[in-house]
Amino acid sequence: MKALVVYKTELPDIDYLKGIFTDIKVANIDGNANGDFLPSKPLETSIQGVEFLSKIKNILDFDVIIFSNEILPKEIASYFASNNNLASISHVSGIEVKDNLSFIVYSWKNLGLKIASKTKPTVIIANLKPFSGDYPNGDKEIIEVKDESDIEFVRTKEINFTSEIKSKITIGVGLGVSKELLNSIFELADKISAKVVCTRPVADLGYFPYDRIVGDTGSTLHTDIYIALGISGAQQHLNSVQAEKIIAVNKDPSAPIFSKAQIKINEKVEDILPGVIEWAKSF
Amino acid sequence: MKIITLVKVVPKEIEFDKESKRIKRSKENIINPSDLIAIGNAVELKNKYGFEIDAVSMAPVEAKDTLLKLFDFGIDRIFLLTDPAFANSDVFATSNVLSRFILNFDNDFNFIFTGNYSSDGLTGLLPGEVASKLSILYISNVLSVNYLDGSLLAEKIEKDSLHLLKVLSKAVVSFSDRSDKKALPNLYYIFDENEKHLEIITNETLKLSQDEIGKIGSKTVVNELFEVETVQSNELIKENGDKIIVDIVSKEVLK
Repeated sequence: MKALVVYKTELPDIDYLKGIFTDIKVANIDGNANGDFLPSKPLETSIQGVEFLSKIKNILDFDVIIFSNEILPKEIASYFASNNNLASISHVSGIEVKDNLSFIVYSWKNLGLKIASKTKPTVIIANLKPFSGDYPNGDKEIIEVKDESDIEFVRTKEINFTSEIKSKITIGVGLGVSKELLNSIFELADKISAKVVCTRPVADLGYFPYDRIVGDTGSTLHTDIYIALGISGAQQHLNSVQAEKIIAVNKDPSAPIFSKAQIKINEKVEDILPGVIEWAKSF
Repeated sequence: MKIITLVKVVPKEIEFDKESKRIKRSKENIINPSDLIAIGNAVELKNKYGFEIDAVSMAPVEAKDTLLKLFDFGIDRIFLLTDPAFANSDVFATSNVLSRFILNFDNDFNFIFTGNYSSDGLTGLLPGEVASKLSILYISNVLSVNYLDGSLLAEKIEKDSLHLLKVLSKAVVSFSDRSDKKALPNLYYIFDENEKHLEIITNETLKLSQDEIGKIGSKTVVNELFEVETVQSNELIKENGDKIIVDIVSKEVLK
């Protein structure tokens, strides 16, 4: 089976893909990294991306076209799929090969889905870990791409928004935490110099600003200790948690976070919080 | 001058029923939170420059009451695309419905605004598929917009950079959650006495064929729902959780 991988700066795990596909080609949309197909200039829009991909010879012969989970590759993926009447699946965490290909997507809480495609190729956006090695030079076929005429880049500036949150201790808040407990949690965080983050549904409720979301659609967390309060442990959240130790507190014994946590506390958040805050007050 | 906002009505809560292996959606619906950000940005342009705003939503007819609340936010017209034949549409089939309506009945727009993601699916694929079917630009992850001399100025976040783009043609713009312009009900619009209509559009009007919509028109099939592995009950700590946390955290704090 053949796969084409399309990325900007974060090449998905080629070693994992080699276990599934016998023939893998790589396209880099910035044109300045290793790859088999490179555009004549860095791509800036989805329409340029579709032009670039459409000029790759026999592109529709690939079984799967895999896009990295980055802003512009994701834009190109949806545009290209629709343009070519192809199935598109995002948040793919794994690929299963039986009679046909199944794409594994983790959804809310403890739910996983195996999705099949009716088309060849299938367009996917992969949530695989980044490839740690150097992709070989490849053929480096340069593909001519036109300037985008309907858009002007006026300026670019660096921003403070960071896609990474770093803290020695971090408290995570999920839907299992009632609104009334939030002040206590911030008080605790202040005492122990911890940062407070949340899952996406909590931000959707308006309890936290969106820049506190940790997950596939938010930031990545790097922490020594992650105290996950009332977090069920959806894969889309846990994919972005890099912690030496996870302490999970959840009243639901079947919460998937317990399978990832080193310390699995099956109690209500409101039952354990007062004792921890009482201790923290001694600081 | 017109902005179309693509709006999804989503269940307030979603659960997976382990026994029936089916997804249970709460009866209470809300407007997709990311779409409220798109509406907030559209209303700002309406207030500054006089854009009209249409909201277009594909949903079961029960979504009508939820959608009607959008008039209080400053939406001028609401189109609910609803038909039993649209049920079980994946992103490809859904984009067929939305783009057919826009092309045939609402094509005098300047821009289409929507959220980056829907809270029940999180796929983020729909805006790009709609843009492709309308053959217009697609710009995602936009923080804010302004309008100057007939062009849209859009600030797009990409990793740790902010690009300022001048958009010279029609475009689908999807907004980042980091945008701080979430729409709110506004007294001016709540008490606006102009007549406002929610129009229901069915497939009798859109005339999409069976192989463009619903399960048949979809390009993907969910073959299996499964539960993520959970742990045995005897591995769980059932009491004194607070003392265990204090023990671990105090060592870290005292380091």
